[in-house]
Amino acid sequence: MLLPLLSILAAAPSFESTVAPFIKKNCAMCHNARKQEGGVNLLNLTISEKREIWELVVHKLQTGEMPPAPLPKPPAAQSKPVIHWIEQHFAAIDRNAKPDPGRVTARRLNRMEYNNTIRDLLGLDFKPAEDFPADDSGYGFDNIGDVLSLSPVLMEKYLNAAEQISRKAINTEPLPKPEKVPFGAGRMKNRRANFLEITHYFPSAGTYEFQASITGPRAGGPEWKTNLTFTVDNTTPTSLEATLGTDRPRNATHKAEIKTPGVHRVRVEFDSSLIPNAAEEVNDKTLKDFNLLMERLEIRGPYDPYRVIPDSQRRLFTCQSTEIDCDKQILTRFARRAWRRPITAKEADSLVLISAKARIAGDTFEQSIQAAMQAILVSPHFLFRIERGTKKLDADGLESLTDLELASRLSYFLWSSTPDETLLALAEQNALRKPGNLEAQVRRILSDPKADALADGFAGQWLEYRNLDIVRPDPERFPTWNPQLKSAMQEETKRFFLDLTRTNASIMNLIDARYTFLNETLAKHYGIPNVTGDNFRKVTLPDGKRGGILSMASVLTVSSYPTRTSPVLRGKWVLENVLNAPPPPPPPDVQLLDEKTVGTKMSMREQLKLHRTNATCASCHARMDILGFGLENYDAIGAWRSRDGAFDLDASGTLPSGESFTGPEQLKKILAANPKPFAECFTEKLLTFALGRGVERTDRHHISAIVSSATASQLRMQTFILEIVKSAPFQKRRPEVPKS
Amino acid sequence: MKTLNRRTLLRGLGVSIGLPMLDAMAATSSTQSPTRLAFVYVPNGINMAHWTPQAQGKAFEITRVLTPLKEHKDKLTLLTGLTHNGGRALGDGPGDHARAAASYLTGAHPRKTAGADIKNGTSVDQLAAMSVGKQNRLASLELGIEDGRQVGSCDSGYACAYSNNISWRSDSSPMPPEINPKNVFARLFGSAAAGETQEMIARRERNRRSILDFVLDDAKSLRADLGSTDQRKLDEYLYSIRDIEQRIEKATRQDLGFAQPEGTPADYAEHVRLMFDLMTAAFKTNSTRIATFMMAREGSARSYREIGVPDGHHPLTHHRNDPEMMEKVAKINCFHFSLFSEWVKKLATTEDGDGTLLDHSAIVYGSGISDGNRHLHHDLPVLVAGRMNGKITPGRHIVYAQDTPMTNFYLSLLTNFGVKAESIGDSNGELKGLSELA
Repeated sequence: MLLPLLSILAAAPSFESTVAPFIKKNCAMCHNARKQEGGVNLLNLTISEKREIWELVVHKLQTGEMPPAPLPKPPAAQSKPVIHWIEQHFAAIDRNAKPDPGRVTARRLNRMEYNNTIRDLLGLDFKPAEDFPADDSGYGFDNIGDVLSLSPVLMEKYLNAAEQISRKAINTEPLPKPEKVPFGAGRMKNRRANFLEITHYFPSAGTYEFQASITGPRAGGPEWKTNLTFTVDNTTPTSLEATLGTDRPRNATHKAEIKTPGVHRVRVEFDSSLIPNAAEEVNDKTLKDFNLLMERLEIRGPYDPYRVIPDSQRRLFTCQSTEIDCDKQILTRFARRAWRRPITAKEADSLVLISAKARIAGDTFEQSIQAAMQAILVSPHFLFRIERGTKKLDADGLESLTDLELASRLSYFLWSSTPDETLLALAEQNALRKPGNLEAQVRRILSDPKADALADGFAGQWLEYRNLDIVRPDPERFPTWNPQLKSAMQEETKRFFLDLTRTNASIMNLIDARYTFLNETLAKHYGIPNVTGDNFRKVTLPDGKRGGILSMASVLTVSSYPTRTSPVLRGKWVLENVLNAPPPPPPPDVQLLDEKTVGTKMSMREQLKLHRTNATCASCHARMDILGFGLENYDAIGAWRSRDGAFDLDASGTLPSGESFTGPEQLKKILAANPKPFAECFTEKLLTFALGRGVERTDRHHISAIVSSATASQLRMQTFILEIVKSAPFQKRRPEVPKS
Repeated sequence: MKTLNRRTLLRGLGVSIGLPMLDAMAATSSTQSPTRLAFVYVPNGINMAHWTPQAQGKAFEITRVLTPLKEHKDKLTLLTGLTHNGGRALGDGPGDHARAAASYLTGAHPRKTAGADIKNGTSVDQLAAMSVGKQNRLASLELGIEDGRQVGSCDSGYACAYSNNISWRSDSSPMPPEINPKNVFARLFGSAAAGETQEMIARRERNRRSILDFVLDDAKSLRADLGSTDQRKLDEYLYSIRDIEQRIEKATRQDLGFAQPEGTPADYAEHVRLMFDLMTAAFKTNSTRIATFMMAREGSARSYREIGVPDGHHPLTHHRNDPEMMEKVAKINCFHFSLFSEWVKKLATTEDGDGTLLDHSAIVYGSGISDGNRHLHHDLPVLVAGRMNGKITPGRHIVYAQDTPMTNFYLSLLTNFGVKAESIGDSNGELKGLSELA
């Protein structure tokens, strides 16, 4: 009990006694009022000013980036108390600060969310958002409410998409009148063929007639019988007998039912072996005017056409049009799912009014439902996720989100799609936050195949492997680059990430692992034997050359130039996406790398060394370039190499913190030995994606808390996800300051 | 003068649109054809040594980049000395590429943010569109080549919206460019879905009206209940709905004898050509009078292997005066300009009323950066093709005083376009000399 009291009584280290002298001695020779290196003046800067500068000071001292070489580094015994004092100072401020969960701007569905939502609402297998304009991204993700704008062009696409969707979900296409469509042998390359094969668009389901005609023998010739076979797509052929003769019809008509409208392949063939000598005659040039060939096929129909009712329509139409309020029932149910909440009586009436108006103007019942359905799909309630909160404030003055809003946050975070019936029903009963329910729902959501979206949406953007679709490595330098290899690269990272998520393994596997997912294409690229075939499988790696994201071709390719690797780009990638320390951009007009001499006059390493002799450059590049050098054994599309141009490769380096490595394997070990920066980085990225807004200072202690909980559970993936879901920024919001 | 109802007009005309009637519709005082305005943007600046002529006035020489339009020198106006101050750092640090695109047509200094609180300005094309766009089927057309679909930060802490868009309807609402020619065609001329009958089209129009009425009411009442940032999102929604309502009034299908493109060509040059063709068709049919086209996103690292430049465009422009890299930059500049020149030639031979489309247009070509190596925002490359219905006297190279705001030029364009504007961005007056005889 005495200890705390004693520590207060003892002369507590102060800013004046601890920080100020250190700064004066080690930093102020550059960061003073006159020089202001990097725009920073530390001399006489008090601790209550410019917190971001002080946090940068801590960071630069921790990594050893400051003071930059060739200036002498202060011993750890001197810098540690300074780091500790500043950190404690801000931690105390944060502890006493009013909690702030932030406030998320209404999010418009992005393209991926729109496609997934339609898929899950109606079970339709098409991607209406494919030709929507690209979604702008902010903070590295394309689901940020503030930057997802809505233009008239996009609105027009929403209207067209809604119409298309309603037509696919409910079939009201008019039944066509029968037509005759002839196909001649003129299209055949070989006019002496005994068959015709064509593709034809069948406008509706119904019965069709197929009349096939064979050119007959010349007048006065003999009469033969043969068999004609008709095949539609790959179904069993139907045989019919036909008689060939001058005085008889030389055709046969087959009737068949086409069950699905659309394009089908039709083949008709006669059996020439049944015609005496016909086989020889056909090939005999002396008989060429005999002209025995499959000449013509005419398709007639549809007769008795009928509509094919899609499954979505069966599910939507839960009542007969003659029943009272059937339209209301259908529209209320659909709007509840589409708007992710129960709808009000007034809203239901407005929707019914749309369908009633359409019927008065001449629409059928089904068509009138289509019209109201379109209105539901272009309503702001569908296109935006708008949160209005519970309007009740807790003790901290914060507003909780409603269970329904939370259900949408959950499903769009982990599925990039709409809540399913289970989630929606729980939320309607206000049971989502009941003990154990959130955990159970998160586990259920993650085990669903729809959670693959977390890789496509989150991992693809965080690790930037989505950019594989736009990079264009130089085909002359990298002849093995092709679409198959590109897809394989994406697939490896995607599967690795999803496997971690579903098996609830430690996120540190992303830094270093002795396994990965490969198919033959990628295994060849990596030089790993005994993986054959196109399918991906988990492979135990033979050595430390591969394993973890830093040795994945996807990451290595997107962090390279089209013609060569760039240690700077790769170092920057590691700082931004692994170490949570994005470097500031270089000032304009800096000395850049002399590209044409790389690999000829001077190695890349020697060149970059040159620009690190400049203290301004060195302050960032001392760490960035060294990290990139550690990955130099991988070329610009991630293949292993031991030489670069005319030079032997040297993938060794010493980080400003003093840690040394001789190649990628050891570099990964160094990164893996200190999991905290990576865990923080991962949390920050995942939180940004989960919330759809940028992370702010007030989120800092939430992030620390999430990282602590995850650390206690061996940094397991699902712990991060669950802790984010349970955190205040995900559950609550800052109430809007009332307008004056 | 009697003004014609546009709807009846277009219905009756079909393939070719006669000029006298269009004049009546536009209700201009003479038999003049309407003025068209287009901005074609190239990213990462230009190798200015191969762009700016030495001589001023009529006697200016055709430089290397401009060579493809040598025969059309008398239709070009080169402006030197114009500056976008909003593109400069002004204390915001790095991010010149994002600022170059964002400020290019707005003259604004965009707020540095990666997402929250985007703030730029309204662009010159949109100021024109707001004022006269209602006369046409589409108020304006925004085209591009590269999908904004890319991840990671776009430029030094600036949201991608800044580098992806040059057209801005308001401070916070960019007008994203359409990159798929097929969709541009459908927007301009309607897409004829297979087997669609007149009855089906009529039904769509009828239902769309009641749908729009419904969502408009809904959105209005929803808006009242929201916080300020959410209201901003709803405002974008409401604007879009109203815009479409107005357009439905003018909707009509036209037969152009111009086939609907299949999709997006893989070949860059073909893609660009198709976009220019669509702009020609849009101007010819007077479907719109205002267009913007980004030949690539600002900061684009696209490589141009088809002309022997396998390196990324943006990294190349940081050439530090290395002659080999500068030459490659010049090659890209020439390639872009040669594609542009094909369009200018097309406009110069497309009949329009008493002259050609080019006679009635102001086609502005340029970039928000001059020297890409140092990210300079002064002495910008600016070329105008066309006579703008007599408002511009081309065939000259005009040199203005250092740091003359680019927006002064825009202000003059607006005036000549028939739009009254007090100022735009940082403008401090109109640009003199555009129509004077040298």
